[in-house]
Amino acid sequence: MFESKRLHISALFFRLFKILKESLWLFLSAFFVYFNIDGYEQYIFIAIGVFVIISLLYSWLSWWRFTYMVNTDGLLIEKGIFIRQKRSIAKQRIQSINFNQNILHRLLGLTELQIETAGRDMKVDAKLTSLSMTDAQAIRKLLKQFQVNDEDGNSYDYDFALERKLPKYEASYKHLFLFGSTSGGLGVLMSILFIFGLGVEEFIPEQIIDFVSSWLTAQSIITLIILSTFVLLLFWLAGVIGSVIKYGDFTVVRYEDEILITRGLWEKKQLTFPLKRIQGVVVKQNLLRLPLRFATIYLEIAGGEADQKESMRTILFPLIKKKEIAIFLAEILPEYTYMPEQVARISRRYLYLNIGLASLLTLVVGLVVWYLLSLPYLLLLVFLIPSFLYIILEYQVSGCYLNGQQLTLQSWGWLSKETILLKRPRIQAMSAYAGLIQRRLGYANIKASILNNFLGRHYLVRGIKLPEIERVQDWYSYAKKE
Amino acid sequence: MREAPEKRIEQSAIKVWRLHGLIYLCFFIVVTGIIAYFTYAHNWSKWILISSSIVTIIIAILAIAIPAFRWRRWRYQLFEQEIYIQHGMLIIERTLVPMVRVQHVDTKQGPILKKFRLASLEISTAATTHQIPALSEEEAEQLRDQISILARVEQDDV
Repeated sequence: MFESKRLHISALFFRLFKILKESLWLFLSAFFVYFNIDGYEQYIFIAIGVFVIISLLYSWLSWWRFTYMVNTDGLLIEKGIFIRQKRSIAKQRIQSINFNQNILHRLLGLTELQIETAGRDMKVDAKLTSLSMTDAQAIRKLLKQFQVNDEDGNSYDYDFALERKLPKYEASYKHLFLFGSTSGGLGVLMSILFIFGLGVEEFIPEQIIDFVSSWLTAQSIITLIILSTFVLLLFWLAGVIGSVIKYGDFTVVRYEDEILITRGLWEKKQLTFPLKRIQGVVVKQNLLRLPLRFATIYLEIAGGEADQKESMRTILFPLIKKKEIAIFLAEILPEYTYMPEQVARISRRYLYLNIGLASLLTLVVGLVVWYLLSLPYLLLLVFLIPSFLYIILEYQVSGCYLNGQQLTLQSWGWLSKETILLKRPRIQAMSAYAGLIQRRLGYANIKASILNNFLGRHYLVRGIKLPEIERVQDWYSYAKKE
Repeated sequence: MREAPEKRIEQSAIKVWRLHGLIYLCFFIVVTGIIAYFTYAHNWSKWILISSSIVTIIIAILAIAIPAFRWRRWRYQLFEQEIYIQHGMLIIERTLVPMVRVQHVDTKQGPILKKFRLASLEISTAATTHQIPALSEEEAEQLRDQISILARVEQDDV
């Protein structure tokens, strides 16, 4: 029964595509040379041809030399063209088995299988890039640590979870649309395109640039405004489409001690998170979602993919009404509770001191600027109003709340309100700190550190009253006072 | 806020830190010297020399004054279930590290610390690293062993 197998032949092409994709810049620069320098055409074509053939050969060899075997102890992988590498992953150490399917996988009934272990060593994890769905499910069943005693033994299957009417939430397309339009991705996208635009200019023939710029200057202001609105609309649409493709068909299911997430239209991902990997829950509302009373829920996960992006957090649910969060958590993650109305406000003196400091700073800088550059005095307001707004918002939002084994921290992150739910056993260390003036005024700052992926993440709330700080410290302290 | 931890680090830490400061200072003195040469030999503006001298003097004062101040603030205390550390100068930070969260403990000793028969202790959790800078060699080793025994209690995952 336990025999070593090769991946599906498509793995070869996935590898080849990846190599070609990564060397795209090489081709681009080759073409650049081709268009600009005469007499080398044939060499460039030969070079590209040779490169593609070598890549194909390499992909084929690495496919041929990659075998995997599942037995009762775990997974054994052998790979490497010249230097043979054997890796065995013990069943006990496997924490998550995830399925990823891109469009080709799905057309051919295949999947990528990704195995994540508990260790902090990311090299232990494994990826089987392409194998048939039935094989993948068989592997998942074999490697599953806790064989749940179900009659069909198919306990881990996702459809099974749906059949059993387990707690389940789906993101509607209406909400995904709203998620896409309110995500800060719009700005990022614009700056990327801007930088890209700067780079591309070099490749576009000069006549076209001249033509476009002369055409633009010939237009009336109204046409230009319409044009730029159109471009903005295009960016916004791209953001919406991007997030719908990425998070489309978003479903989250709770099954025993695991959270199962499926998402993606183009690349379908099936992710599993055992409870013990969850280090915290973050409810985040950015500036656009705050007035609309919508929030995004994130998970802080220990371990995981080493090349993970998205500011290293995992989306538990893309967009949810604020008043529905408590019910959502009660169903999906009852270990955590969301009670923002209970959060104790920070010290009012913190607000006064900061407003005072901001005014003083603006006054000094303003006076210097006014004296040196003779700029109008009213310009000060440009700095003063946003800083006041920021300070007041921070005061309105910040605070903390203890409830059983859970610490709720609320603070103003990078242009968004964050409510962080942390469990006492998941907080790795806790600090309180204050300057002399702050201590005199009766408040201090608190910092709780948790593990996120492979690094620490530190959550900070400023201006908490001293008695409150002491309560949190006593709650956290393992050496209880008698 | 909680009461400060009880134990202080070795007093010779002040000397060690001053020595560090002096080494740092040497770099500034050399730079100032080079600037002085260029000022007289190549007619550089006097202001460069004046500002660099002021910076050097300020650093010299700080290198002498800060270590004592810093030492006074540095405290730690070991409980059976946790380590309690205080440090900082203007801003004082007090940190609690539960034993169950400690992943490993190291002692470290550079040439200067060795000369003063001191060692520093480094306590790592999954998310953070904490340092107690200047303990006597025996104290550091004893603490390291003690913590690694206390930290051996059953760890919940991560």
